[in-house]
Amino acid sequence: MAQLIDKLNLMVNSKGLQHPKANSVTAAKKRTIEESSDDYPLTSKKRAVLEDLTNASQDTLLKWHNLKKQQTNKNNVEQVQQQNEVKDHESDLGRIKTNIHEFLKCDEDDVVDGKSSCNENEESKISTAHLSTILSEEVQRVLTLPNDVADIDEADLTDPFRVADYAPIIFENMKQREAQLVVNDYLERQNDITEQMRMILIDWLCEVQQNFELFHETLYLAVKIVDRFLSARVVSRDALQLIGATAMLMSSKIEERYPPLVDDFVYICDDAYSRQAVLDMERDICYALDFDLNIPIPYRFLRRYGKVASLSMENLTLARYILELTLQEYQFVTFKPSMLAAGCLCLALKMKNCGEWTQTLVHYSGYEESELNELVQKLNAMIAKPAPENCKVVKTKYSHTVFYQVANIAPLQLETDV
Amino acid sequence: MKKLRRRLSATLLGLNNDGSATGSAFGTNTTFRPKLFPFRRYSSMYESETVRQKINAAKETIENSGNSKQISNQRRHSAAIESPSIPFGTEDAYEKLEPLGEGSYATVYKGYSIGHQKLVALKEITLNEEEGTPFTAIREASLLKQLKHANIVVLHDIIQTPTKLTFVFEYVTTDLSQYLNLHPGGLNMKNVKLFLYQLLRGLSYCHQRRILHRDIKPQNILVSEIGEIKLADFGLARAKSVPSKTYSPDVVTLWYRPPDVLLGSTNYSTSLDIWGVGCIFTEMVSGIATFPGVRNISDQLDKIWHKLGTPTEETWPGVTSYPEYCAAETMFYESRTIAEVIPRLMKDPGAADLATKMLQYQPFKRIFCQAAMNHQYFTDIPEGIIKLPPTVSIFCNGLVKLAPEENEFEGDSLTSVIS
Repeated sequence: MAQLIDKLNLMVNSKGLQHPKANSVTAAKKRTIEESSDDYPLTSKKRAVLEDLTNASQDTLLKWHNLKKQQTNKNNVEQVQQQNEVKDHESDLGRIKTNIHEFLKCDEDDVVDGKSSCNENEESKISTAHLSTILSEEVQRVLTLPNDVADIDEADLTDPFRVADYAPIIFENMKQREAQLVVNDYLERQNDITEQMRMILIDWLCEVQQNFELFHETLYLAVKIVDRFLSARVVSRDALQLIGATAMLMSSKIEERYPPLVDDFVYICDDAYSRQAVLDMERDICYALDFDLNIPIPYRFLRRYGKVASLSMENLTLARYILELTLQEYQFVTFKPSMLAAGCLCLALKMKNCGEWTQTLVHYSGYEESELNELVQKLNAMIAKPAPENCKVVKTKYSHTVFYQVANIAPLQLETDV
Repeated sequence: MKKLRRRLSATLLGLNNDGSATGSAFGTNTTFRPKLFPFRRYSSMYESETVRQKINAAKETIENSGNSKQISNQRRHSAAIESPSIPFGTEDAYEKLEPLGEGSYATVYKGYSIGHQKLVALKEITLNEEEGTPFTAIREASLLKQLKHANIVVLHDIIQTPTKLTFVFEYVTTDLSQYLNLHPGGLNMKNVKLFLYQLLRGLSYCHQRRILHRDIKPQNILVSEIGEIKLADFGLARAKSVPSKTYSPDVVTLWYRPPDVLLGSTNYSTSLDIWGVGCIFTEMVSGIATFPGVRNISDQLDKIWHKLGTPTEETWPGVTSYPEYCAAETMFYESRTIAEVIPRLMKDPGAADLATKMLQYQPFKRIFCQAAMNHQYFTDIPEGIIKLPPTVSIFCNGLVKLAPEENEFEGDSLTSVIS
């Protein structure tokens, strides 16, 4: 894949078009291979990307996208495979760099108050004041801040591009929705698949997300789709990878600006399934889930809670590492996304000894520390055990320096610390 | 790192049910060819609980309606009574009538639900041979699934066949575009208020669920016989995470597109929809589109500047640094208030002020839905309406009703659409 895209970039260049990387977020997300450089000029890169972004030209994007599509169809699979082997190492490095790059970019949006404030934004404040008039009592309760709780959205009210006004009610609505979409213990009813098989599948999906440079949201949503489908249908293990790949295709269609193509998924499944099988499975998943695919994911809750706790990038990365590991652990499928996010954050805070579970966190998450203790212990046990031979993608990813090597941080000593 | 491309089936088959590995590991080149997942749409094995419920509901409805005989014979499909086994979720449950129009990615037909014995709108989406279900269809269906609001069009049912996807919507007699054509010269100011309030009510509900509509225009705003407003066509809508990501700049019909997006901003938020609402508000008052650009983006910008004045660095700090800002193409116009452009706004207290707050050039200055609903313009909306739950229409308790329009278009009457 990596080389395919690089080749395309070259092609685009040679055709005299502007380099696509300079033109879109997606293009910027696509692999940047920096040969043999060990330092990561993230700050400057970020600035460059943002600057380029503002110059985005739809035309060039479309051309590039069409080109990519044609090329993907034409390209001989074996050719790609050969190239892959030659440059595998380099592209991995590039991939990790761009990955972390994307990761940091998002986070500066979330965690750091990056934008300069504008004084004239009276409207936002007014609307917050009025917001409570039409809302349900439950929501009003959440929106009314107790004295000992800091208003974490206050700073953002002056920022035009954040929906600070809406944030509290959006998350309240998400919590109501997650309560309606709880995944049950479905493996009881499955006779051909096991926890280990699910783990192998999810581990592979993590790798797909990394390699295709998809948003983390896409990965989380794909796992939710898999779980919800497996709750609705009894399936054979032969179909498991097909289900996983198709779920990823569908979540890409929902989350990504330029989702990977069906052929990309057929390819990464090593042609085990035909294109028609993927399309049929897509219809079947739509049908089984009744198109109800807008499912709350823990990643968004963690982003929110991380902001509440004013977590540093490194500590947030630790929490994200823990959260990403829970994806492949079947024992966590029945947990509500918001609770998982709160648990991961709570454990990260304890591991780094960098903060308490404050009243502000209780208010915004809705969970008391005592409610989370059992979950935190389970999470701690999860990161303490060595990764199974087949499922090391997440640990490897977060062992990299660009992820602050958070996977190497020692877990809590269970009996004493928790 | 292991190669991404591989078959998990080999690994999975190597696992015993107790989890111990006996067979091959990752990356092993195996000639094993797995059986495909047996796929059949309506086999009994896959018949889910919801489908069974739907079938039962359909049977009941048909039996009940068969007894009560309240339904006009014209519309009744006689086969429905004879074979009550036709479930929802299949094409046979609906009779396709005349086409209503081309949507953004689909064709919409008027239809008749045999089970419910009422009119529906059938939105047919052809599945792409290469890429399967279009992303617009997946997004629209998944969003509408969670949007249950009196001012958002109801998605009754989804029919899947191997080649196409049909969304079954409630049938609403007309849309705002047609309504405006039928009543030229501007609507009754009372109706403008009721329409705008309902539009904001529906949109606010979306924004609170981090959903941007992104394609607000009169064609996408349905109007029922009693004056209910229904937001429709969520094909371009998407759920937005709280910190904004960037979206494709090519999303809103030009006339209702805000200047920041026209100037190339991709960093938009709920303010995108609010500009469109402002345009529609003023269009309902004046009877003609407020910024009817004819050619391209720069013409569209010119229309806006012409009406409200060309922004400068003083009036809009940073405007010249937008990617599409082109000083050479920008004519200078004196700034004017919206009330000067559309004097009829002055007929209703607060209307000009609210329109001004919606049509702010700078996105962050634009009013939010909730604040707009609390604006003094709406002070005469009765308390009993403000407190209604989301799923209840504002016309439910008789506190407000649609006023007669002052101007009727001479020609075809609206009632011909209603059967």
